[in-house]
Amino acid sequence: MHTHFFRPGYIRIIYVFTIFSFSACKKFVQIQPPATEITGSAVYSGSTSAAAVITGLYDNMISSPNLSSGFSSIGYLTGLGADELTNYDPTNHKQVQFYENVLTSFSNGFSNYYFWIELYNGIYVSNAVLEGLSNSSSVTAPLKQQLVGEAKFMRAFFLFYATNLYGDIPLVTTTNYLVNDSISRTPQAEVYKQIVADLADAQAKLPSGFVDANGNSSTQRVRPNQGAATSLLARVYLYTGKWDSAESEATMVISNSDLYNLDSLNSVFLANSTETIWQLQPTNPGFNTWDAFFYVLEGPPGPGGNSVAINPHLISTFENGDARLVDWVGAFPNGDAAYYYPFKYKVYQYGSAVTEYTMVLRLAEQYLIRAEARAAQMNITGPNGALADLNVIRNRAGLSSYSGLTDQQSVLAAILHERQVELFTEWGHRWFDLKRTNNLNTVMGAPGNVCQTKGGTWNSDWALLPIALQELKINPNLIQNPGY
Amino acid sequence: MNLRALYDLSPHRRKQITKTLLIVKFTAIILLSTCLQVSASGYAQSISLSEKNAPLETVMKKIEQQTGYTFFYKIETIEKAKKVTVEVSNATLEQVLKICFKNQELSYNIVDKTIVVEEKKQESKSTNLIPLGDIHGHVTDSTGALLEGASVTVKGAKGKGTTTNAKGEFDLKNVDDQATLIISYTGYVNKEIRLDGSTDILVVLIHGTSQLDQVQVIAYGTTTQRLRTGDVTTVTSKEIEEQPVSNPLEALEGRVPGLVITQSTGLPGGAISVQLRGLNSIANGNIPFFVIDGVPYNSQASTPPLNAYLYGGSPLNFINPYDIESIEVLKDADATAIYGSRAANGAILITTKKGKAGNMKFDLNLFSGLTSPASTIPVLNTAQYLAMRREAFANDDQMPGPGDHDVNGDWDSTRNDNWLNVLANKPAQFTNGQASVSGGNTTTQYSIGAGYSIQRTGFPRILPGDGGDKKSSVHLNINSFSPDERFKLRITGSYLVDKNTVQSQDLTNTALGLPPDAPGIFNSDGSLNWAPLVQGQTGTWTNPYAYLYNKYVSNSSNLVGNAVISYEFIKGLNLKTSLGYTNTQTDEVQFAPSTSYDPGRHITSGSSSFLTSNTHSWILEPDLDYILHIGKGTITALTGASFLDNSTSATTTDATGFISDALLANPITASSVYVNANSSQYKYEAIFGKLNYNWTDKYLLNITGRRDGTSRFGPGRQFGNFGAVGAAWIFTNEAIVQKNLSFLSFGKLRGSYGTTGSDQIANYQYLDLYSGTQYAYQNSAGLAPQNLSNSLLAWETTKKIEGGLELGLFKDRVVAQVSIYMNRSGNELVETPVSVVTGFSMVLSNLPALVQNTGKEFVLNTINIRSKNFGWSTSFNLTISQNKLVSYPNLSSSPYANTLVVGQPINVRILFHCMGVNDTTGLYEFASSKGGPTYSPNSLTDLNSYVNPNPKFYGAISNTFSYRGLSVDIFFQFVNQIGMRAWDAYGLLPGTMFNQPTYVLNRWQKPGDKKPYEQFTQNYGSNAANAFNTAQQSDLAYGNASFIRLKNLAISYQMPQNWVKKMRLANFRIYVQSQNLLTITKYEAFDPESQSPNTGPRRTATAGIQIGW
Repeated sequence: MHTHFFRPGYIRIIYVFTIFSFSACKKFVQIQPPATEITGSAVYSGSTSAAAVITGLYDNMISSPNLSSGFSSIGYLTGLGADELTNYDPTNHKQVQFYENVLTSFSNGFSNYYFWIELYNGIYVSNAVLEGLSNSSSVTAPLKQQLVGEAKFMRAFFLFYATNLYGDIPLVTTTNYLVNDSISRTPQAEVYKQIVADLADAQAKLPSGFVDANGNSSTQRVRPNQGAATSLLARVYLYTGKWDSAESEATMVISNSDLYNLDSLNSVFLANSTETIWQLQPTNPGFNTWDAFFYVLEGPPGPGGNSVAINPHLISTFENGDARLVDWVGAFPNGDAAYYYPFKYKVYQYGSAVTEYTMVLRLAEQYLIRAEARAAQMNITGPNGALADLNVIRNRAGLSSYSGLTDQQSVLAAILHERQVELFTEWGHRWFDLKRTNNLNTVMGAPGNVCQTKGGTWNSDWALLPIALQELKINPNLIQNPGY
Repeated sequence: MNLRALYDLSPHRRKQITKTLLIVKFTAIILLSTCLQVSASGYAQSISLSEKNAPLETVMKKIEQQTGYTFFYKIETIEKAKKVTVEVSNATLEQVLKICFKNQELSYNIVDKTIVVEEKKQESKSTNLIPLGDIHGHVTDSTGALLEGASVTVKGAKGKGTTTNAKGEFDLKNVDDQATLIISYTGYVNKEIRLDGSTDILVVLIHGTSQLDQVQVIAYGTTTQRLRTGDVTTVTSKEIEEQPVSNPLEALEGRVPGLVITQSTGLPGGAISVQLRGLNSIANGNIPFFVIDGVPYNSQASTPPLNAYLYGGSPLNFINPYDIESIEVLKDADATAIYGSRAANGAILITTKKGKAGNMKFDLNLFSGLTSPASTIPVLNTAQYLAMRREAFANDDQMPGPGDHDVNGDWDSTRNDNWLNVLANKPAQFTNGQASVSGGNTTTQYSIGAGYSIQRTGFPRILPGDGGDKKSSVHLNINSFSPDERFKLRITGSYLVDKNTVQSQDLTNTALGLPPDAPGIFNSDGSLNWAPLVQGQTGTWTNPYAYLYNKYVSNSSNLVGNAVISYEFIKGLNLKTSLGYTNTQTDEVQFAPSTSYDPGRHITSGSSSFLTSNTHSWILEPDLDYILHIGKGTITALTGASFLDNSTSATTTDATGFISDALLANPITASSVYVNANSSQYKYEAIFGKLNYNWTDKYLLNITGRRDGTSRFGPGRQFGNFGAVGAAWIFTNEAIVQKNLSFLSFGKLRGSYGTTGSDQIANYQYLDLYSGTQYAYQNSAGLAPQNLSNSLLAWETTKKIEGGLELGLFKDRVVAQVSIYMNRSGNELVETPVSVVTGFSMVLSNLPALVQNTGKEFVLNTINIRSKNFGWSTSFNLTISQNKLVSYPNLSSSPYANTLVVGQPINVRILFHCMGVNDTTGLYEFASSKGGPTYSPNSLTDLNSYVNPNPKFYGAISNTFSYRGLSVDIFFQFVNQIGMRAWDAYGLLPGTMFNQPTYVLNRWQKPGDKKPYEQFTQNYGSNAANAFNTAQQSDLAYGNASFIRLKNLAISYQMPQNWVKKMRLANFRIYVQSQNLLTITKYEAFDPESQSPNTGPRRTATAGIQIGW
């Protein structure tokens, strides 16, 4: 019967069968993108979806205990590393490392690697938005301008923190991983040039008022606007010693009293307070700010509960009668003494109505920037002098106007002190101030110094955080900071 | 089984079959196999009968009942028979038959367990209706089941031959009446029959007694060890059923050379890792291809369970081990290349039980027992623990702080709990019940099975129904064919529902670190004790029972269905279509009621998470196969296509702020609810072909090819070609070998070479995708990029080469196999770590690396004693394997510069070299490139110690003893390996507020001490703490993790047949079975297999009963 098999009829059957199978092929394996996600090209072809990427960036900054707020935040951890907070949890590896200034490059889930990850993820998203919008013709022009402004602002914002934490950093301005994967560190001065350029561009593109994701005006101060770009630019100029520019940028914000005014101490951190230049809106249900959740003490600080309190060193620097010691510092009794905790944010109970937002940029800092910039330019007294701005902040805190020596050095010291008690546990101000004013080694490392009282040994190398070991392994062009 | 079953049909159907049978003429040719006669006389049957003038049929029925033998006859033949009188007690079968057939015009022949009755020869000629020279025949097995597809060839006549149809019939024209026919059938012993003038013949083939002739399922067909060209290992249902396990993967441990099965956790329903012949892929995609009854099966959950301690779970847990007839593991290119791109890591085929023709049989199997940890660890008691803590404070020159509740007086230091015993090590129930019915006739057979099993964890249970895994399943198989035999249909379906309530926290892990003086679990009023310093404040510890209030329930259902329809166009040419469907549906909830929190934290409302996931796939595989006899050879050709569509979807709901703990199941009562959905699709297609040539069972050649397309790669890169060639030479079929090496009953040399591929990556990786963020910001939803996309992704390919020698000695009482293989994988498809400066930590890409796996596998099976009452057989397997990175262009400038080393395994651990504890400083010291030991080595220059975590060799030895009805199986598994020491996996700094294994007591205390463990410290910033962290990245963290384990011990007793008969049963068996009863190891702690401080493999002891009707 096998001879039958070779009859043309059967051969045809097999032939047709095979050809059918083969030709059905190509189309069968072409599939649509998943119904629950969207491709990059589709994202930037719509105004709403393009804006949603930037919205997603803010959401990511605030939704979980994150670098903006709570026990992983820049404020919390550098507060431990500096002289602001005391660690009460000896089992918390990460906190001990920051507190005793014994950071290592081992990144097995504990150390500062987290900042690096979060900052560079933010930079990636900013770059993706900039690239996506540059190729898009379907997003409306005004919205496109706003989104480009926000993306540039955010890139500058993340680069600013990255360079202040790590020193020279990879300057990433593209999403191309083939470039970024082997990138070298860029000198800090170059990084600052990029930051200034981005902020200047953002300043030009961003609306002066407050808007929402679609460009409609909003009462919520939760997206960076022109004032935010100007404020951050003022800070950058201050950090880089461009005093006149710092002064003029700060002035632009301070003089915009239609939008920005100092508030009473207990109102500063409320949602959309008039002092707010930019806040992050809590999105995680049931929670206000992570700072309140992790700072406010209901029991003695320690493992299992909240585990830090304000360092006695900081408490002792408050002047008598400073209302901030009352309004912004809480106390949990400890026998005759007390554990003090940051109480700028007060609503810590789960499930409470959201009344407080996480502050990122606020007006008081602009006064202190301008004060310092003016002092640096020897403009100390008089109605437009450094002390005038300093006194605005002191008076709000219930303190009398500054009455000490008016030489430049004394005034700069007074401003540094004022920053310490005004901006404590906010965004690492103290740690960065000590570094940029060259006071870090004195405060941390002098005999009987802060570092020793915390149980560590100071080394000037600790001014910069280490780069995680696995990053160095992956990218041999990255060089570790000295001392790690 | 009984051919008379044919007559228990409707009159119409009976007529048809009777007619068929009428043509069959039974001749003396049937038997003549010495072997058969031995088997008949070998059975000393004792028959007792007392019949007077009884019809022969009645007497025959009684003989059948007493002996288990079956009569085979034409009904007309028996109707003519004379009545018989027989009066015997304890007579043999032959004696009784002699009496019964003494004056009959009938003759009988015993063929194995069948007694063929026919009219005496002289009458038979008259019924010959067949033209001269034409042969008609009928092929059955010894139970009378008709064999379809048996090959019938005429010896010496070139090209003359045929195969039997679905009724076991064959026709041959123009055959010399003195010719000899050769009848062969996969899994049966070949038979030669001289026609001697007969034209109607019945051929009874007997099952190959040699293991070489057991049927093995392979891709798109079957083979035997004797005739295969590829490398295939079969694990039978007997081996699986002897093991009290709930996941069929567990039953494979140690049984298959080259296969490493590791339980990630001992919790029921947890993940099990499967690795066949080493790691081919650098970062992922090392999973073998699983196929159940021809339907591809996802062995990894598409959405991992909410319960993190199940480590992703195992979909194979949704397959009832008792539904499985056999598991075949396909290893080399020849066996796997027809699966193309999916089989780079080999293939594992699971075949479920099929119905067999015969009277309805009912089988019931029940067992119950207990499980406990296979390994545990001694930990410090309170006195030792407090001494450790105080010593640590002294070493650090520090005093206990307010947080050090264990030593600062906050806790009652007279308490002493071994928390492992309190929380984790309770014996847990394991019960399993199976029932099945099977039977059928020659055209339709069925099998229906049902199973139930419950396995609990060793943790305390405080919620009803909590802490276990319950499974109920049904399995169905129907085979049928049309009256004209051209249409054939086989339907197989398995459905299983699983309810997993394993606690959300692995309390073994929790218990390990809990200080022995930690507060008691309960207050005097029965509420949880949080031990606050001041009432109403937060407590001083996390009460481990709080985890038990977190309810976890996962309800899954799994359906695997398969229908195969085939149509025979012309003789030998079949068009077959296989249609498969799988559907796995999982609904999970995880509740965290407010009562699970420390009341001092003032959390007044609970939260819950819900997960609904669904994976369903269909596959359509049409194929054409054809069998052709050319000369002395047989060609089997197959061509087919495969279309697969796999869709998954999942919805996760997180709800917080519930009005009441009683309402956690209903998110509408929560203040905030977040729902996230995701979905994905995978499409896959192929055309394939196979050509097999068998020249007189001496030379075998097998060629396979496949062209594959997958949706996982971008346009232009979706298709790939794969193929293999396998050849074998059965040299014992050469006359010269038979003559000179007569002790060799079987000898085969085989070899194969081919390519397979892998597309084991997530879907859509060539696209850059954004997905929604969890929460709205400023009342707008956000989007976040998910990955770095790579549009250039393409197939990873593995080239496999293998040679094998298979020998049978002394009539196959000793069967030995050696395989030597080398697999090389290139174009590696991996998640490449990238600097997070890129925004992500990974990107998927093809790497220009070449990874090699080589190995030798040995199998030795011997039948040591085979006597009437006593049997002893041994089986042994050994695998020696090696993995290495052969080449990697520009490794030093690649992202892998510091994780891969050419010449080392791809999972090599690159570590500091620990030189022990400095006897002066009491710190661990490490080799430094700058010379001299240091406690803080440089991570860029001093990582110079390489540790290979793969097993050096592994295998198993199993002995089976039988004495009458008693059978004992003892199975030892052995592994020689270096593993992560528990000390490291544990990772808790000795001296801090965590309990420790007792071995840490062997620490440095004062200058001059030479100890393996450094000084205690409680300060995470101390030099000792840094040295400890470094030591965890050193070779000190790795040690001997070799073990010998009594993996399985099964003792069963089969009740004697006459007792069973008396009880009107078909079978009655009682047994005890145990798993992991004993482990011999130098590994310090926990389990050398799982190497983790979590719940490890379980020791199981069960007793059971099996009854058949």
